Amino acid sequence: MKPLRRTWSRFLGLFTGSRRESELSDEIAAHIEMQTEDNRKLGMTPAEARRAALLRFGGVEATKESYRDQRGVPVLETLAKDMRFAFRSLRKSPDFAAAAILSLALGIGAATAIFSIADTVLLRSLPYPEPQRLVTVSLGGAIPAPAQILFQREGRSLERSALFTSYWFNLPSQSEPERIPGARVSASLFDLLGVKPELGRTFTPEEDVDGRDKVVVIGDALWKRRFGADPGILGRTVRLNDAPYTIIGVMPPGFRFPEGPEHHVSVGPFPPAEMWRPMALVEWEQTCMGCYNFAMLARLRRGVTPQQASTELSGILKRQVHGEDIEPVDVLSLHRAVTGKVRTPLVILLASVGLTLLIACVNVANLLLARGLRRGEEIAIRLSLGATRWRIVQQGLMEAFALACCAALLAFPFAWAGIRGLVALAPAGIPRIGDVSPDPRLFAFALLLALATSVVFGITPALLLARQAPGTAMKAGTRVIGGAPSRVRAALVVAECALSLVLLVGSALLVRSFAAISRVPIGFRPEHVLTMQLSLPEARYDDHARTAIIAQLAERCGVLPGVTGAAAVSTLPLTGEAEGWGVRIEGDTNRDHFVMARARAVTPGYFRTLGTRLIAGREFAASDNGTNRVAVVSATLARELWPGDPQPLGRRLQGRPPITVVGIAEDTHASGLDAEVRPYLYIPFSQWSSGGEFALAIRTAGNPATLARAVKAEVWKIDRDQPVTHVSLMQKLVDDSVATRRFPTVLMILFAGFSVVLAAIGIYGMLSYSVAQRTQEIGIRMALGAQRSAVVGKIVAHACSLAVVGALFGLAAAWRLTRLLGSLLFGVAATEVAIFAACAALLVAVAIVASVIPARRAAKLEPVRCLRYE
Amino acid sequence: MEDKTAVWQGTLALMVLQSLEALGPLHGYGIARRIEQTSGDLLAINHGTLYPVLLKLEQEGSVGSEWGVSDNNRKAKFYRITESGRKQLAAETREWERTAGIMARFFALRSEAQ
Repeated sequence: MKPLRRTWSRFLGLFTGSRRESELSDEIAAHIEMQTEDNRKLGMTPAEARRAALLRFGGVEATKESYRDQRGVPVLETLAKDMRFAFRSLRKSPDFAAAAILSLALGIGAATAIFSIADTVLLRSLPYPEPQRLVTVSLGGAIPAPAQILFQREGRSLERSALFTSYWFNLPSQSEPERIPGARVSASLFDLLGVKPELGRTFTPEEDVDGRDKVVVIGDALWKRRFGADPGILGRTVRLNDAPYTIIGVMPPGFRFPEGPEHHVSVGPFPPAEMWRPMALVEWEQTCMGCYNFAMLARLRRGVTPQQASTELSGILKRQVHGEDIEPVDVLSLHRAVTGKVRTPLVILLASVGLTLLIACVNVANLLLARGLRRGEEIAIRLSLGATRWRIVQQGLMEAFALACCAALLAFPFAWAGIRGLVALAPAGIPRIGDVSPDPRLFAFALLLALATSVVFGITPALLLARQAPGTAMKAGTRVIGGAPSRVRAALVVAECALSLVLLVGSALLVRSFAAISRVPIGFRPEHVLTMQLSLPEARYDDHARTAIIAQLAERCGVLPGVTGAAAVSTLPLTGEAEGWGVRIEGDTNRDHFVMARARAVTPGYFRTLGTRLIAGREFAASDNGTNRVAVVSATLARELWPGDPQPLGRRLQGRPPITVVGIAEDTHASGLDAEVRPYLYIPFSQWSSGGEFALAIRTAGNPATLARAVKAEVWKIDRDQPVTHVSLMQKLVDDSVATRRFPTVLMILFAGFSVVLAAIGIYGMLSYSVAQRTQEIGIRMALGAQRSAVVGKIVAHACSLAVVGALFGLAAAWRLTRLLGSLLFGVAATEVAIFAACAALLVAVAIVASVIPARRAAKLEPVRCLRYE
Repeated sequence: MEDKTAVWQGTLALMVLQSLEALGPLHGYGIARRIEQTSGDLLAINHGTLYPVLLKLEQEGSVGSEWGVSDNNRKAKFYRITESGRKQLAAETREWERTAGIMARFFALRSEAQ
């Protein structure tokens, strides 16, 4: 009880210090005066009396000191004092403090941001029970239904399996008809994933049959948005794609399978599903071995690896086709399938941010070391005034701690802003990116790293200096520390240079790839073109009606004010893969002689509207209908079909009736700027019969975005329930198609820039220290006749040598590391010598620039003053 | 424990408490005088050493203090013993008497042997 009470009052004493101090002085003064008075009464002279009183009292200051030690908590007070001292001394050298704190804060912030994203997107497991057993099974990206039925029946390695495929629902509404992303799924899919509905039920096997399949399950977000979270929604009928469906269940929040484009069959961006209907395969789907229209999900039996499953399923498939050679069946963990495309960029970014953090730490180490060494004299004085070595080290520790604390305080908002920025900048289709939040674990790790760096390099010089006899340092002034510590500093600068060169080379390669992509002749002029997508349900429109409506729409949009051209196309470039067609030359009876082309139906005026140049021939006209079958071929298709004929106009393709080539169009990069050019076949809409999906493209004189309302109004004049989706500028589609590249490229440039600046700071700090240290030496040299240029040269050469050594290490590392960029590179080799050389040259140039200020300082020195300098 | 100057803190604290118990509130100088007088000037302490002891007793709650005016109209801080201080004094006095008794018996033994 007593010790506790005492501790408490001592702790309180921390805060009442100054009042108690003056009280004590008063009390002691009173004591001594009383004694003096008593002594005088005994007959002493005033002077004697006071002297005797003081003697009797003992040391006044010693009393106060021991009183103070008891009053507060000495350790805490010293700590607080050291902390105050640390902050004061940081404030006194703002350059140093700002450089160290900023570089640490940026390093920690960036690392936390990137890691948080990578963790959420790549590392966190999927929200299903035993997610490691979930796999997608495909034959090169997709699978036909009979293969799944076969695997389900004979595959021992699969516990169960399901089919799914992306599917759009047109949902009419009072205000604006909506198009809901969804999926057709086997009844077993939900059980397979292990997810229960929040409300109602999922599909029964009986409902998974064509004709009995008019039921849907909806997602939580859609339920809240469109149905006001109505608990009585079950059993309600909604019209979807012009057919009545009964809502039988609501999935829990956060359920969004399938999500992202990666494991949808549809290529191109497809938002996470919000609505599900039974797969209910129709008869031809059940038997069509060539219809690669589905994706397959399976749960492996316990203990089976994807590799084993692949071997088994490949065997089954091989027996089925009587031993013909087949590609092995792809069995990919669902996690890999979801994260597939973003994996490489994120891993690259993780690596670069790690490097950046490392460079930041090296930089701070360097700064601390320099600072510690410069304080040799100060420490020597304090040692000789009686400071213990432990106190000196303690103070170094405190300064390191203060640095790391400031950095951490700053780093947190950096990380937060970084994540917000990254999420905003991130290309569409990164799964779960919306869930990202700063990760406290990594923040703690980065903070610890910063703390460790500051402590190790903050204390090392203090320890070095504390070990020596105080006299040595004072005699030798600031010049005592040479040798080992300056070699350590040189090594740190070299390391910084090497690491930043790696980042520099990596970002240069990415920039070069990006530039190469931007130079790709895209095959159309995206400026001033507005696009949107529509889907005419087959239940409402037959082929004939559809063709008529599409022609009518294109025509009406074409005459809107400000419009210079309008056309419809079955699949707009960069919005997904167009349908594949085997194209044969008329009269060629060899079944193997065909070119796999992509086919697009277009309305008259399509080429003019999109700005795709016709190399020869003409566009389609309204007269190209039913009986008169015509086509336009892309340059690549023409070359592949008729290698010897540069302008095969009037040639004919096989068909019933045969198709006449009336035009040759320039090639387009329709499936992505970095994808290879595919052969394209264009035919009029009137001769097309594949589905009701199409897009409108409208070229305008002015700003195309202002036209969206007018175009929608035209659509709704024709069909009130027709959703208009994906309203976008063509230019934006082009930009988005390179977004997955721009994202890592921009970040890598940031990291590289940051690390080069850090390296420059490192070199600058090192050189200005050595100039300060060698002031006398430089003075002597100049007094002996050395030219100023020689002095400058020597210092610049020093910088160069550090940078060159760093660059050599960096080049060697980059040579091995850049191949990891893999698919991110385009039109440039991972080890392109010119880029390596340019980056190394840039680094050396930066080193020279960084050395200019210290070099000029040295050159301006007056020899006489230098010699006096102490 | 050479000559009469050194007195260890615990004993000093006991003397302080006993003085306050016997005479009522006293200022630091008064306590010092009282200890010297009681010991018949055999025990001379550096008056300064008194103050850390007073602080410790105050922190433990054994004494309280307030500013007042001394006999000759001087401002001084007066210490008084608290209830908890009285208990401490009683306990420590018993302890001290026991120790003294034991020591006395030892010395008695020694003189028998002689």
